Amino acid sequence: MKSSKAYIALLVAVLLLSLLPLLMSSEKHKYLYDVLFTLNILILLSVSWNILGGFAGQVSFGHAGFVGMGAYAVALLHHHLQLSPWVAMPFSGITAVIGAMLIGSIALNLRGPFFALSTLALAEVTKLIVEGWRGFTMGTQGIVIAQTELLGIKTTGGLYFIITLWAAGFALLISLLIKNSRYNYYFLAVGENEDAAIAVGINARKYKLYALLVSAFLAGLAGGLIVAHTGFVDPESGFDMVRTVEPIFITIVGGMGTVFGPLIGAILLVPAGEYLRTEFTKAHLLFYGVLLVVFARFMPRGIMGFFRRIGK
Amino acid sequence: MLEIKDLRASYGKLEVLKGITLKIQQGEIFSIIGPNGAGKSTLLKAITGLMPHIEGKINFAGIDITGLQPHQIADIGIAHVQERHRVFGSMTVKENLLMGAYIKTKRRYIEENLEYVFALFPRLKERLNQQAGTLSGGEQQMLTIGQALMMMPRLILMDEPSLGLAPLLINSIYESLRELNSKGMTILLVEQNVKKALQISQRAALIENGAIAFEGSSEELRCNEEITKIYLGLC
Repeated sequence: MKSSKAYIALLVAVLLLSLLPLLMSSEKHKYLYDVLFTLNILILLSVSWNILGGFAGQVSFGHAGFVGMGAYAVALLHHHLQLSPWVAMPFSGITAVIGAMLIGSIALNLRGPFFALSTLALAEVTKLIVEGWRGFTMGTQGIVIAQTELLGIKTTGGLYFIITLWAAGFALLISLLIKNSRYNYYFLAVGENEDAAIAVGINARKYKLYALLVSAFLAGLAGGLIVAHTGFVDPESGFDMVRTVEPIFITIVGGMGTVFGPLIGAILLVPAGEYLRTEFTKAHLLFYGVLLVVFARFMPRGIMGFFRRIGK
Repeated sequence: MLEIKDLRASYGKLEVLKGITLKIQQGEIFSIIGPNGAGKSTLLKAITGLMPHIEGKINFAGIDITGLQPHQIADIGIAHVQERHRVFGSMTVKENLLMGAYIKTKRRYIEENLEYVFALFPRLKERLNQQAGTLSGGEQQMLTIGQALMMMPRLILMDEPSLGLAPLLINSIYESLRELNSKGMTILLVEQNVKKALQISQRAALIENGAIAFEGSSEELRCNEEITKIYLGLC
């Protein structure tokens, strides 16, 4: 079967790329590993956004909220209970899932743009709560994570690269599993025509919630990994709107609703964005904007959709 | 088979159904006619759980279905073919039909049900691997009905099957409905096309302003004075 090839390709790619730190040392290529870390995180985030927005058709403007929840879960467990960020890491995803249940209980009553806007609002509300609850979250002062050792090994750029690589690979695996299961059709049906889906007996709300929870778990995990890497989080950086915007751009450019669209989008956009970011501050967002207009006009189904059309 | 007692439904403060009482017998086609905005589609939506607030009682084959969720009602055996042609445009005809077979207990019968649908609508078999969005309006209507049949319902609620279709296609859709009914399917039909509806159904009700203005055999309704005043030249 064609799909089993995709699993093998994914596994081989992740295994081979895991060898990279053996060939290139972390000390000499510090900047490279920073860029690769960002790339992996954005693959993870874009795949996460695509599961909800691309597969299930529920556009979220609130992914930064899930990232922030994950980031704060790790930071708070470290701050209050002195847990190593790596021990606390699973709680990043779990916290985001719990947050998504709360957000979903409100937002999933709404459809289309109203759903999107309510996720944006609820993400902002979460940020305000974190900001205001100073006694517990340290408010705008933020939280510093002093110790980031993993099983006694000093965490270097190379190690962060491998960890985030596996996280991104894990997200792609989940994405593939969904795409090859019945759930793909349920998500597609609900995303495309919710009324028709309900008419054939599909519990639309249930599947929208499933997609939201899987998506939130992966976004929360990304937040936890970011915090472990930077060693610091405050509401501004933890709930940064860019973490919502970039995955959307990447997914649209790569191809919404496809498994590998977010991957291709990230591989193309992130290095170019990094270059522009260092040359001209924040210019990468301008670049994304122009690219988005071009894609919306000429390739609305992204790169994957474009190749599929040529393939036919 | 379907018993509706004093059913009320509203959009916010606007009451659309003002106490509807109806009994649909097994094996019949029952049509509901009435002017625009009388509450015909709302009645169907209230039955299948698509209206947020309803009062009254709805009983289906001995089960109280008042207030159940749409997917639960679909499970119990009521299929709702909604107004406008609701298909999954990016899926193929076959995938659309398979979506109809979503209910677990009905999955075993997929092959038989597909054959049944193809016998009724041979056109769908010809277009099996075509994207549903590229079908004509009539074909999409056939597909929605086919999708409903894949659910093996005991009752089909049909909302305006003739809407936006050419006369020839309307005839062919109605022919299919007649055939379905002759095989024992109970159909609750909502139609603007009064003439067609009263020709095919055994009994009918006229709804005006959210209440039943007249109920009786379709023959009676066709010749009823009040109705011929509204809809000219039926008798």
